[in-house]
Amino acid sequence: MTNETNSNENHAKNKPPLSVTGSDYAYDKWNEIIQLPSIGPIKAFTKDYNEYFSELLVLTKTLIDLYGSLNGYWIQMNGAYTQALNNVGKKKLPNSDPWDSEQFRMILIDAFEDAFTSLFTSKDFAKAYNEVSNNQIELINCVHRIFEKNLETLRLPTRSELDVILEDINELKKNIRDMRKELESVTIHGRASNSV
Amino acid sequence: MEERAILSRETGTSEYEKVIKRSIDEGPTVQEEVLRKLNKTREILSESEDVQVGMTPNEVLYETRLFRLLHYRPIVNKTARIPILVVYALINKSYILDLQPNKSWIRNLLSQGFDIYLLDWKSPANADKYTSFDDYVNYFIDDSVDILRNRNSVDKITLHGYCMGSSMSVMYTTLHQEKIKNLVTIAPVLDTRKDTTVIANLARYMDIDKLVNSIGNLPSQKLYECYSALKPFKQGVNKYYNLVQNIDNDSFVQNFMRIEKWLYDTPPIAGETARQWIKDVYQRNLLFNNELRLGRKTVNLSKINVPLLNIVAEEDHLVSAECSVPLNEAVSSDDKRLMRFHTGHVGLIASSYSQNNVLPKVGQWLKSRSN
Repeated sequence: MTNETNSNENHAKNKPPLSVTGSDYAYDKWNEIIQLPSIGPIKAFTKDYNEYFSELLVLTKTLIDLYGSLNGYWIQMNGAYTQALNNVGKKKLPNSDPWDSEQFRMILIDAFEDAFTSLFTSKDFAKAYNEVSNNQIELINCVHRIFEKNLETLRLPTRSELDVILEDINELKKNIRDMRKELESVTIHGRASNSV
Repeated sequence: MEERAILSRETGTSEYEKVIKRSIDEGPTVQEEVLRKLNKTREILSESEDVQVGMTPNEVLYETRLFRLLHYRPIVNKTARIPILVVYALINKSYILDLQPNKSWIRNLLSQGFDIYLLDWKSPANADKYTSFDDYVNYFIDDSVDILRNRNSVDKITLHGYCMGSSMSVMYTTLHQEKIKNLVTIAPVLDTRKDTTVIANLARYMDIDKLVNSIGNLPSQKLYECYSALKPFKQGVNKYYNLVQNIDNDSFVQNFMRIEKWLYDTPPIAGETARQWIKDVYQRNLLFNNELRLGRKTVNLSKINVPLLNIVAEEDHLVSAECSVPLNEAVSSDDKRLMRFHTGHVGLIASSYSQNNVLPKVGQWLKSRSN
């Protein structure tokens, strides 16, 4: 509550002087209205809307990041392709008559293999690949968060809640297996001592 | 052009008719032959589902949602007293060990008089994302080992792993050595700091926490991406060229199709297992440093003192020989042997080379320690 009061005071201090434009006036009024406790439900509704909106903004930013990382990835791939062509150029090409296509094919394969394998074993490529991969995952995460929000609205269990249950079930299964093993061991020892 | 037209008029036949006549007289041209082979290749590749693999007769002894324990029917009258449990990797499917009768690792061991069992891992579902190495090693392998011991009335068995399955066999042996008579590993992933492969390079920089936390299991697609970067031209492109060239050779085509089926039969890996595999084994090298935790226990390689046979391939581009070899130094066994072969990761277990050069030596080593 104190934080909210402080925030309102700060907002009042920081707000730009009222201009003659209608949009500034409307913005100021809207801010004042949604912060009135008596119309809290409206603020709550706006908060929900804002969360969706910010999630969409993150989605857009992630798409831009993904595009950037893919560019970095393709620059390296194109570099390897150019390197392979240079390697072919450096090799002595067959000049036999008739044309020895098999020898030429092997030169091509070797040149491309060397260039791309050296790319794939490089630290830079591994980093670029991981960056693309991370951005792809972030894209999935954005969609997940939006869906989780929808599930909460519908009062349905979210994936995070199901994960907690799955983890508990896995732990329970282990405990049951431990108990079963111990029971078997006790039974075997019991039989052995009885027979003695 | 005008001259040709005149000639045609003189002989009374068109250019087109001449070409057809020449094709019939001289056989198909190079272009026509290539086109025929390409069409045949396309037809064969589209029928890949009919490929038969894993044909050695077996029965399912035990089955859960995540694994099956198979027992192979003996093909000789007398089998060795100590049974062998083969632990396959969590990557692709176990039928690579029984790909076709004349290149089957399993069938060869059966013919040498061994009693063979196989742990055949099933694809984890999304609900299995919390399944970890602790489950695989301390529960699934341990349950299977106990079944073999009871069934064969023996205290100890031979544990035999392949690739990631070798690493799991090593983990199991350090924690349950009292149940193990011999340990046989093929291309174990161990000292990942020395691994120079593309897979190790990609794994070192992978943000596996983010992937597992977001997606759950490590998806097949991710594994395909890594595989496609392994020898992309010498194997990736060249193999299809060789297929077209040999498309009329039934034996070559069948062999190609079986390997191809296996290559693209990739299940996902359970999330927590993938996290440990990438983070603890590849990025932190905890398995080799004796710091890997499975549940409440720590895996310590120096505790292993059972007879060890470690088999590596010099041209392995999935697990470097340098990554597997240090196992022999890390264990305390007095009876230990390292076998190196000039072949690749798959060639080590599913090739004519393996049948002629690897398996006879493996069988010899096992025979003297299985009664």
